[in-house]
Amino acid sequence: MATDHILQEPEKQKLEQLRILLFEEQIELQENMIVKIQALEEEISVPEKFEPHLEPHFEKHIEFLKANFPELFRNSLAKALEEQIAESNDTIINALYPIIGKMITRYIKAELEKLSQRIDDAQRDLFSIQNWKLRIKSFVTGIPYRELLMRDNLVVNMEEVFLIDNESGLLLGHHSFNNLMDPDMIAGMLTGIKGFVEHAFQQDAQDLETVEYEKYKIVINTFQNFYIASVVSGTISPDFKDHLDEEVLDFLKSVKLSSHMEVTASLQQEMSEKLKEHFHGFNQVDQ
Amino acid sequence: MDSTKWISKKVALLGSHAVGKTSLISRFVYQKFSDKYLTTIGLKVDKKTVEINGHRVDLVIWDIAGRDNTSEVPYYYLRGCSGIIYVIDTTRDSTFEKLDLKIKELQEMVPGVEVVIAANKADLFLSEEELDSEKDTVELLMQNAEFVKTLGGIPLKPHYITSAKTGLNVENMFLGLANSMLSSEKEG
Repeated sequence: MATDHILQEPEKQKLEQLRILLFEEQIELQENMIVKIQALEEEISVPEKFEPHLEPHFEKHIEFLKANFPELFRNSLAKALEEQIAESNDTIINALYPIIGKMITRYIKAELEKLSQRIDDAQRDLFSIQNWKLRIKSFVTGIPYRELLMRDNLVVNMEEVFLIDNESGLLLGHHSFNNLMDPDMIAGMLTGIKGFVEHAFQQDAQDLETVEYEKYKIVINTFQNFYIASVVSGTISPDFKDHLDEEVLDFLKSVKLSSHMEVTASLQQEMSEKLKEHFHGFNQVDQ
Repeated sequence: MDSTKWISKKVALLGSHAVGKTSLISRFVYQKFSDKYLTTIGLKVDKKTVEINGHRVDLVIWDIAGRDNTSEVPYYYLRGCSGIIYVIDTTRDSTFEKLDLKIKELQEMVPGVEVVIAANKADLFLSEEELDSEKDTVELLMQNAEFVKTLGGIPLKPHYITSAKTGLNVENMFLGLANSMLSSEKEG
């Protein structure tokens, strides 16, 4: 029975003709698809051919990211920065230092420009009394007029000077250029603060030397039985500090104070007079 | 001593927290009292000049933050003190526990110092009516069994029964101390 199904050559040909007639269209389509798939495979495997197809989509996405970057990455960026700063402190400081340095330089430059402007304004005001005073001073002292103007604009003043007993904190003498508050209370508070600071950092026998508050600085010179606290306003230059130290040491020569002495009004008056004699002209001389 | 001596003396107020040290100073120096409690941070210095037997004394008063143990008071606050007022709160036993030992310790820390003990907040044992009455406050307190019992429990007899609120004995206490300081100086 199997022989019934074996096709003879002529039948085979007829069947092929029939298949071609029936599936011609599909075969053509299949062949076209194979060609297209081969072309696509080639495009994907060769970057130069593939890129032009992706570019428009990438550009669109990049634009989207640019527009929404802060919202999308704020938290991740902050976290990453925090970790980076914690892990590589020195690197960050080294990176920031030149930028901050530049900012400081710019600020100082701006301030110097303002100072220069003030000096120019003062120079322009030729007929002012102050101007003539400075010109005469320049002529007498030989210090250039512009330098005197500069000093005039960088004023540093002694406001108060206190002579205080080391042990009790009682005021031994006081001279004020402006009369601030009760000197006895200031002497007590200063001694309390001084004692606290010196006690808190008692690694060596060191003394508190300066206290700063806003534009004022208290310069402290400590000796065996007493200390001298000078309240100064303005920016203290090394020259000013040297001059102040010299004056304080010079003042010491004129006083003799022992430990555990009785603090009387007459002693305070005597010491205050000496402070006045010694420091009264301090601001004028220094300027 | 000179006939009209004018002298400065350092006085420190010590005692536990919230016994009324700042209030006593405020009453004495500024004649003010406030119920509001503000803890003293570190130190505050005030000054008042008083006259004792023709002499003038500048009392430079150091209000030192409260501490239960005298050994905890920094020495740099106490050195050079001529007088110390040790304040206790009569309503809190803990503020006068071992008072005798604390005073002894202070006298060792600052040799020659005059120490007075102030039993403060005495007004809290009296009613508003009693306080408003014309009667002598100390007499009323001595008739108050609870106060007398408290007073008896204090290891060392207080020199002054005080009230910063009513002003009871505040002026007397500072003047008394100034007088003692002057006298001890005369003896010394």
